[in-house]
Amino acid sequence: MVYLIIILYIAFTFFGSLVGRKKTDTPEGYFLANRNLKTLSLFFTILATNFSAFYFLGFAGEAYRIGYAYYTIMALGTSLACLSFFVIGSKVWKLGKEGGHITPSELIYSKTGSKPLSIVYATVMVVFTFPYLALQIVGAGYIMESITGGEVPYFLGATILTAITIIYVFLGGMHSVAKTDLKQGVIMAVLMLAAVYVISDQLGGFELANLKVAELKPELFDREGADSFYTPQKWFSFLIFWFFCIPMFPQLFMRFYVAKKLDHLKKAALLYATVPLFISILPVIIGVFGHLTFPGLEGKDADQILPQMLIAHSSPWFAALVMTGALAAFMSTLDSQLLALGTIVSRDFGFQARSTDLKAQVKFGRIAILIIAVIGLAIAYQPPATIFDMGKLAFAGLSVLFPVTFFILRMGGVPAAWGLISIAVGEFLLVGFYYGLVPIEWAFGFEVFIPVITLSFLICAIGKISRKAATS
Amino acid sequence: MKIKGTIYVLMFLLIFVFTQDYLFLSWSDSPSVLGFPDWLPYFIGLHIALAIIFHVFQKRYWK
Repeated sequence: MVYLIIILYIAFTFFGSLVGRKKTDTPEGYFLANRNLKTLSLFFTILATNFSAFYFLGFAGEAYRIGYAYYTIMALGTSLACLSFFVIGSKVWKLGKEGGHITPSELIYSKTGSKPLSIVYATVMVVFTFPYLALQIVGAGYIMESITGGEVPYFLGATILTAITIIYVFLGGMHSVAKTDLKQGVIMAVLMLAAVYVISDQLGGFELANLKVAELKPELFDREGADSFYTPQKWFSFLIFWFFCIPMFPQLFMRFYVAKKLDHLKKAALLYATVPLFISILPVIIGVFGHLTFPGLEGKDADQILPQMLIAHSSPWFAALVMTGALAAFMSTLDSQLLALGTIVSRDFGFQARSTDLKAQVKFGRIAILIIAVIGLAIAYQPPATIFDMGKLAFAGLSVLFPVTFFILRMGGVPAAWGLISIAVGEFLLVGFYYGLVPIEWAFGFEVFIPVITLSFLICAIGKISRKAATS
Repeated sequence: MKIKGTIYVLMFLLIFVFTQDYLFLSWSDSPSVLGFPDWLPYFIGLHIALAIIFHVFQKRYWK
């Protein structure tokens, strides 16, 4: 039964992404679905791309450790990113349409005329997205192993799922990715809702289960979270973080290009402001209720609380069905990352400069996707112990691009040299914080990205003022 | 247009200030609806307020 569910899901995803496939032998068609996505497709491809398997495993695990406070951070914090759809997204959409840009750094180049800045911008996007891409493959392998009770070993599962993803991205580009993301987004939400219903019903209903947990672990109901996890500085940091981070994911940045009309982007942004309110609470509830069935889990064991709760409180086929939702989450993030990085690598690093043939440009993109996927798989074969830390670093590393992007799009530009300094100083400081080369006290209790991004903003502002002073 | 823009900026800033509840609120330990913590409806309310303001913003200002 478990295998049947997995096979049906894979067939559904694979063939569903290719049915009605449109001709994709131009770069705009292949990489950006001809800039033709309407509200629902656009919203779901953004949602599914952004809510990776971390939504299934990470949310529940963090809620097990921290409690309900985690919900506010992920629901309200994520939704505040709707404002970046306006601040960054609307400009990217408009300029992309006018200039025919496909990658983020093509837009940066068109506005600054600086090749070094656009190359550094593309490089940062690739370098900091790679660990996160490899993490999707690692996660897919673990889930496949977990669903099949170890019968499909980790790396075989990772390879199968990556291969399927490569094929539909390879054949259909953004059009297939968006179609798949729409289905996968719906699958994720519906299955998670069903899981919460089944588990809470087994535990006697929401109220009874909540009261029991409150008696057992009252700190999970604290606004500051268990062990006062969310100090005022941390609360501030995590709530503001997604506004800066989300638009800088290359796969998200490129989603701003693909809206058919501005109205579609506006409505997708409104949905993004609303939907996390409902869907974020679901895995959090399961994570908190986990203490009733599996008390005392520590560290990474807590990340398995969702599959464990499903196995304990539902039938094996239902658990497998819900966990295919986690596979959907992995694949919908992986496909978007592969397409985004493939596009950036093939277009921004000069491989296509030699070719004016549009079909050849698409071919370069496909080859780049294949190479990136193989490298991702190679990393996943024996993932370095630091890969999870690198994944965390990746988010903050990408958000360092926000100040430069903001100044270029909204403040009339910034001298390229100052833009480069802003990125370089931000990234070095960030890496310094992570590897203990910069004292953590310099972050004043905030998450390290706060001082990093503040400094990057300051450098851009100084650059802007110095240009103004020089010209007046 | 500029005044309208400033008003929306202030409204979104106000929402963010309200998310920093520790500055002006303290919560009891008593459970709320369905046994959820008592502070949860406050943040759900803020989230709904964000969605409503954003709805008006994207309809009337975002061109």
